[in-house]
Amino acid sequence: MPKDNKVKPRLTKLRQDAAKGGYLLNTDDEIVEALTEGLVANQERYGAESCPCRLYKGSVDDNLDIVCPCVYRDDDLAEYGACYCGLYIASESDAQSQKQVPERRPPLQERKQPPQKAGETTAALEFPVYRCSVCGYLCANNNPPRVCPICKATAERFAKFM
Amino acid sequence: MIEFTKVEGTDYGNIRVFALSTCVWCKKTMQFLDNNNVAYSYVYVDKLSDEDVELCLQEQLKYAEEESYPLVAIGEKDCIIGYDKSELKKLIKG
Ligand code: SF4
Repeated sequence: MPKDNKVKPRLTKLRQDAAKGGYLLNTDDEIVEALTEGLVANQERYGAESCPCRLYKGSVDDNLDIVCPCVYRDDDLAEYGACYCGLYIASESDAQSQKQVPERRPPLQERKQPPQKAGETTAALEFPVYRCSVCGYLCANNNPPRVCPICKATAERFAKFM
Repeated sequence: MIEFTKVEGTDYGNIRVFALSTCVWCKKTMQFLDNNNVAYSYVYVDKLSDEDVELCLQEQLKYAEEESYPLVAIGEKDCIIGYDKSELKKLIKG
């Protein structure tokens, strides 16, 4: 397990970022601290803060969806009031911890399938539109931004949307 | 051969926990088993070689379609997927 001197500052930053982004961390400090330790450990061994409660397997690309915050966070917050790990909760009344949120991440094969086209929206666009897989932010430009201006996800987590 | 670590306690059938070393829900699950003096064995799948990870996943597939942690395998085919306190309580009440 990583040393305290890395976990503490990471936790402080996590709290700041959550507050800034309008997200709520779990009010159960034990859960939040253990998960932060997991994030730091994964950064050390995988070079990315991948989800502490999921198995990192395969290439960097295969695991982009589970780099924290994962692309499943907002759906889980909306449906279960907490993300899969319980790091983020929707409101303080969601801090219950008797049962884990079920896994919604599809198996690798399904994740690899190209996104379905939503009808014929291919009318000549002056610029392609990129979508942030973490928060859904859309941007019409030749390239996605280096970091998402909304949730700070990095460029590789953007996918061409239109 | 996947190497499981044994924890002594009362026998409730062959209980094996497939876990991740960084997962809080795996921790909670094993804490529950510890607090209730349940005999079980566990493996941290994230600590294994790629080869052993594949073996583990094959074994997990016998119990559950989805690949998630913790997986509490009970005997030959029963299991509890994820941390689920009420299911764990049922397990030790028989
Ligand atoms: S489930 Fe929660 S802790 Fe895990 S990667 Fe997603 S947002 Fe992060």
